[in-house]
Amino acid sequence: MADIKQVNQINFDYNGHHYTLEYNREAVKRMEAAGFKPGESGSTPLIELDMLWAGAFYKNHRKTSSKIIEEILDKMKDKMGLLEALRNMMAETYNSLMDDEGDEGNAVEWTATI
Amino acid sequence: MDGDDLSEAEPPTLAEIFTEAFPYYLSMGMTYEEFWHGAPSLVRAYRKAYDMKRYERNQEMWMQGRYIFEALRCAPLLVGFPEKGYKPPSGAGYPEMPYPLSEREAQEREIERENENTKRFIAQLEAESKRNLEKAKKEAVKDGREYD
Repeated sequence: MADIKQVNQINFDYNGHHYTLEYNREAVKRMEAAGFKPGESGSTPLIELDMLWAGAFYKNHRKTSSKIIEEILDKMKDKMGLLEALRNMMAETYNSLMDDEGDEGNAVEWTATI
Repeated sequence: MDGDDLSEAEPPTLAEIFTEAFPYYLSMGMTYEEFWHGAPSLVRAYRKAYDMKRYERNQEMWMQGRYIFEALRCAPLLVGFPEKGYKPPSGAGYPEMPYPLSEREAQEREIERENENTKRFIAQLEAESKRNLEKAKKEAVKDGREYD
């Protein structure tokens, strides 16, 4: 049903409607105002998924009722994959401000060892 | 203690980070709509375009300084107390054309210059050959020979 075309967009069809889920900074601001704290270890993945999912409708489908939003989420496959994709999309709103392509030549490579 | 204050300090929210970054992008020409409601990755294109603009401006300023320097170098004013009839050394004149902006433009000008030299050389050869021909004709007439 759902297919993740790129890191910053999720596309799918539901009940004859095409949905393109993505975030903009306004959506993230509103999500935080509603109590969402990105990267907070206290919240369970399901609560995080609910909030990320609802927030992703703001940019292109803000008039969609919360009932429909929940209904679609219930029917989505691979919820962990979906959560990961939504987290990546959310991170893009922040990373795009922070990364600096100009310093690639001087960037320090690193690896993690367990 | 200062250390305790730091450990208790709340990290900034994303909204705060966005709000702080917003004027920076406004200064680059990004609109409110683009920053808050547009695609998040758009800021990368604005940063790149801004870097390109700064590079271009830096080049222009450097070039302008170089032209001013060339203009001043041609004037006896900078030579201190020039002797009467002072002329700037050859090659110190103001450039006849703007400086090439790229390696490619420099190469094109070099090719153009070589073509001009070749044309001049051919014209010289033709003129010399014509002169030799005229000379040979005149000598033939003088010696009473027939010239083909």
